[in-house]
Amino acid sequence: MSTVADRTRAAMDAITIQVDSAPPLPLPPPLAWAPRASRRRWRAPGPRRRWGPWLAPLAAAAAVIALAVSLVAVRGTPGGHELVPAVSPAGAAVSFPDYYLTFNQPVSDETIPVGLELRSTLTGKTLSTLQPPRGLSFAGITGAADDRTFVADAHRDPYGAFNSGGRSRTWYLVRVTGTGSHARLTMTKLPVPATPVGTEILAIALSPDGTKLAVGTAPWTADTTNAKQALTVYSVATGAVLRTWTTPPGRANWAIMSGGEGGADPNTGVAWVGNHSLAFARAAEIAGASPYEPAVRVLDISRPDGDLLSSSRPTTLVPTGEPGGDQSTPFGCDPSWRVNVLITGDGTSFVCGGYGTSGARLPQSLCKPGTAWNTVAFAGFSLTTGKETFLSGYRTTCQGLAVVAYAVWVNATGSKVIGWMHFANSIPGKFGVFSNGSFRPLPIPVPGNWYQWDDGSLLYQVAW
Amino acid sequence: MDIDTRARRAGLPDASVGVTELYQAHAVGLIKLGVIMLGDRTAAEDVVQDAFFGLYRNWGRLSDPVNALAYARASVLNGCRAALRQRIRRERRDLSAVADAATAESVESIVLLSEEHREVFAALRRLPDRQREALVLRFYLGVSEEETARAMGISRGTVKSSTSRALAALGRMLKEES
Repeated sequence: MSTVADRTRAAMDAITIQVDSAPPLPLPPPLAWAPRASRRRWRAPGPRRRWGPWLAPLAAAAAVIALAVSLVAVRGTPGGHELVPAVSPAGAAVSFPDYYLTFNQPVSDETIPVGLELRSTLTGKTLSTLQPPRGLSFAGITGAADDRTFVADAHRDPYGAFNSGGRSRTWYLVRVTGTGSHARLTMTKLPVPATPVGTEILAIALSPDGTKLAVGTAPWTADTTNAKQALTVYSVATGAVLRTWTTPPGRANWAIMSGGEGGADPNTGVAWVGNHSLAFARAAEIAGASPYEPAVRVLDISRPDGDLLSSSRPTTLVPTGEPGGDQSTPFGCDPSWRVNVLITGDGTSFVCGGYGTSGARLPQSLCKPGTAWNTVAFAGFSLTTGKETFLSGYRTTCQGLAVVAYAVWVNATGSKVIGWMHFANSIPGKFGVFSNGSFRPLPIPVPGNWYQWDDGSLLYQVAW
Repeated sequence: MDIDTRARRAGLPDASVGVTELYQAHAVGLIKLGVIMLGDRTAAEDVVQDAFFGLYRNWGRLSDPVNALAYARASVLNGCRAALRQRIRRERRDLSAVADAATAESVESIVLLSEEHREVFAALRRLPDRQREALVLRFYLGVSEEETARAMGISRGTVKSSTSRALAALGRMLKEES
């Protein structure tokens, strides 16, 4: 064990040395079971019409037909990620999605059902809110490329995504109607089957055209000896399982690395490459590679059901910086985010935030004078050649663990990245659009959510 | 239907028996967790008691007794986070209280520490909450990776990366300060 670990344990021992007993726990007498009023809404007595079983698929199908029509325009652009230009207050035109979806409360609060909020990317203003169905709480969100179509999943109480592990998920199509300040959210239950209780959600990803939903799962169990990961693709319109691939039993064979940052379901655990392939990152499958260097694998969804690894192909080994923020490598993705997969809209590059000693010509951000220059940036790596395709960020004198960068959205080519960059505790972080050496600040999503500051859990709490 | 009836139907012991047994077995460890997170034994005891009251109220909802400890751990962590947020809000509301709060939390426990331990503890307090939680649960309380993940509501991979980053950060801070 390292000296740091020893010193830490000794300090913890010292501060808790006097804690050798607990005060008595005076429990009240058993009470009649009384669910909190906020969780049960009054309903008028009388027979209930059972519209649900057949209305939900119909409504979902209608919604998907509408979606298919609306997405025709999106297909005209490469990858469908180049969206309506917005104009910054300074007058410079920048292209990024108008809206994003986020949760409307801190993830750790288990007393209130988690709803959804539609916000303006440009202003951060909440345009519309959506409460979950009665008795449920939203835990995951993922978006299509049209900036108006999302899929959300929800679970039963206790509420809060923090309590969502292992709970069954039901699925909803969430759509944006109207535009600008009149934009509103609507919700339709999807016929996608609910995940069984005891399932961990590793990844959710809605295809760019909004017609397919990819869901990565594993058993929510301590004993992973015989546990398999599964990656399933569903039809959004019918809920039918289109494909399922699994890994051999045993954790050592698992392929998808992601897990629930902050409790919300990971929406970057797998990513779509166009509308017909999926990408995911798997650690250290190349001899001699660092365990932090993920190989990005691409899976053509026309492949038949079967083994996830043999059905997919490795494309590129993503270079990573060293854990702990050591910036001695030329440029590498931050290993903390190596489980998160972001692909350019044109399907050509893997995108990450990271750091290194790259000598690329970039704007400067001074931390301490007289120290070595490093690069903090967002980079793309070709899925074909593995070569760096773009680099956008800063040269800085900051270094160490406080240096962090991660991306949450990228356009078709990688020329624009929305992401978070943090240089040092003494310097305000940057959140906004990074584009070829320029930076356009945006309001930080979920500013009331303290968790976003901690290890980048913002990643799963927003969907563009 | 009362709590115990619901519990019996779920195959659980009566709420008062089950919760009391669990409290007796794990309260000290959880109070230690709270002390490290909050730096204040009284606040830690309050958080732990609140967590077990919550467990008692929700006893009938547990599907498996194995989940009870995980629920209690998660509740303690939630309680610590809430207490820290309240403390920050209080400090922001009344800047003059900053010094008082810092002093208050140090009186009982921290003042007794050696210079070395005080330095390490100060570095520990500077870690993000999640890294500190992962470090305490895994390295100090010896909670398994799986159980830590459950208590924190994150993946096993994130538990690993959080502890790794926490140790790296501590090493850097302690080196900088020495």
